[in-house]
Amino acid sequence: MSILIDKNTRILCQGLTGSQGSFHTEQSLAYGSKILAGVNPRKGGSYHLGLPVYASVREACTEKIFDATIIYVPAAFAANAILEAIEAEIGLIVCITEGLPIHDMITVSEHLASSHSQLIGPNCPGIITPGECKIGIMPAAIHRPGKVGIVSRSGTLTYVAVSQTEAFGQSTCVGIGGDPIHGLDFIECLRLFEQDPQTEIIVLVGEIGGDAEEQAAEIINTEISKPIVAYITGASAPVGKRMGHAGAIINSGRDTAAQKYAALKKAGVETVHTLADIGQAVKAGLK
Amino acid sequence: MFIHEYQSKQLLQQYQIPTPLSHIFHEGDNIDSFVSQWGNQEWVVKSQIHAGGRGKAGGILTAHQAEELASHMRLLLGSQLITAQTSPNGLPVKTLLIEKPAAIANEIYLAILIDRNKKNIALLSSSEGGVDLEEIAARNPSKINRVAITQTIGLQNYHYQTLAQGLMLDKAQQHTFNDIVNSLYRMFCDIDATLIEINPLIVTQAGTLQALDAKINIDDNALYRQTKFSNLRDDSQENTIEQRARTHDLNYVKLDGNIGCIVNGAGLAMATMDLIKHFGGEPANFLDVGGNTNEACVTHAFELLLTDHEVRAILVNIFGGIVRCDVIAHGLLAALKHTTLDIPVVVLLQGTNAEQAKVLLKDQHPLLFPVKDLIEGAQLAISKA
Repeated sequence: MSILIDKNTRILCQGLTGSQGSFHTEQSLAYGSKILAGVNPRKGGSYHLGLPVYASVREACTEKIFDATIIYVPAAFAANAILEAIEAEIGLIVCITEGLPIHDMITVSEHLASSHSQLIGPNCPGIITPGECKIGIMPAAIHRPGKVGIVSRSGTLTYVAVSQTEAFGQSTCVGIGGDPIHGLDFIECLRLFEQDPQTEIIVLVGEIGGDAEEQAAEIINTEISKPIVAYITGASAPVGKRMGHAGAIINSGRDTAAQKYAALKKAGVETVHTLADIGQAVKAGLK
Repeated sequence: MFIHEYQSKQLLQQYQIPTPLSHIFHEGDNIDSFVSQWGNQEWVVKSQIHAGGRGKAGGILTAHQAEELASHMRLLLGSQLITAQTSPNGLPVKTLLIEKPAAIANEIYLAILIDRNKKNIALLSSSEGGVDLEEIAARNPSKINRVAITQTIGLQNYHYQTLAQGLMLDKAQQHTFNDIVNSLYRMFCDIDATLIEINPLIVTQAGTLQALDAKINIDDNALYRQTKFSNLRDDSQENTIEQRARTHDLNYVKLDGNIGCIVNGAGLAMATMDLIKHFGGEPANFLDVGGNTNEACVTHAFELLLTDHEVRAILVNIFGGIVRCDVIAHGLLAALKHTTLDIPVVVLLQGTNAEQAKVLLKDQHPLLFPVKDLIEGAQLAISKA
């Protein structure tokens, strides 16, 4: 078992023909992901990487059934791509693109709330169930099937968490993205990991800005019985400066790493203050 | 992106939101001719910098007559204004906003912003204008009116009513207030703002409403479609290294320490800074070369840090995934070719093609120090800085 995706997940790719889309789709296909088709409004009817290209998501959905779609289209058109996938009722939408205007994400969120779809991202590495399915840009080779569920706001830190848990393997790794407004959050992922029999321990990688970690802490006590190891990045960041990710900015002094650590610790989470301690804490948590 | 108060007020005027009568005075304009034309009345001289706390720092001065106006203008223009929110060096004052003093009867707080947690747009108002929202929230949270706006329904009558609660506006003022709220919402969406704060929105003794101070933040991700804002950017308010970083598409933030960092990924870049601090060092910067970096990008990043004279050591931390470590190594070597390296560079390369990268860097320069893990890297960089 795993969460959200497995070896049977049928995938569409929006932005398949671009350089990012092509490169990562080849990698994903090599990993065994069932990417069945792509979308490009100007290249409908053609083939790319041996896959049929449709002019729209709707057209693709009349020909085939998709459980998930991955979006690589440029930032200016990415919200349109997400909305198109929502309208076509694709269950899982993974948006890799970074740099979406926040007003676009408000539009997306409004439509998402009343839809049948779940969104991962934007500005994220995607999701992988090791050995079964990779929908994203993460380096496949570092993952192996196992019992650690990983959820992270940062791409590279997800990879570090994966390498730290090499000895135990991972059930599913979800990069929820570094934007202030995004789809799936820690809470939804924690609940999914709680229900997944393969996941025995959860690693949560948070960062400064917003209060997603504090919100997660509030449900952990009552809803999550599995052990959680948490690391928060950005303890040394100054107030009011955007640290790369649009969402990683301390605005009020109430969204600092210290606040987040305190909230998680209070909820019984094992907190670690350096990346290198994640592996040890997971090992201890599994005993 | 931040813009100046005078630019914010020009935008408000375009949306028919009233502001005090004012003049904009740039460095290099003729002070004497300005004073001889306008010096016969009272003015508030406001320094235009990208930071708050100007009043307390002496950056906002009132002039009662011509001589005083001239001396205030000479004092502020061209100075470095240091406030509680700036770095110890302060920010240069290149422009003054010279404004008619307002006879204030009442101060209101009004703001529109993105609520990241609720994923919608929020409008806030309070009768406690003139102080920070944080302060109102701490002291008097019940005095903050808050409404959430969705794109589907937009602004409705009950939104205006909620926002006007406790503001003690008469009927005509309520009408103007509604117009201001409506304009603010339109403007917020039109210009891709993440925050527009009018604080205070004053009721004058004559009974009219005016935006006395305004702060506008614009979403950097939307600048591609907000082209008019590129003219509003004031490079003098940014660190020169930050400007250069932007031209090379590098995510860079200057900090106060002496250990330069070059990292791929925003999260890992912050984690690297955290670790340096954890072991007692001080990072000189945040620098994310991006998840999709190339050789040129790394070369630029490296050259950029070498121009910062406060940097005493550099820590390179790359976790190769999609990014290949050998590409990073080539970038480092290219930078070494046309710069003279006189500070130690600690290099940690993990992941894709790390072994090849190590071979490439081996014995290339006596000040390159390869390490095996981040803890060793951070400690070595601190000891060498």
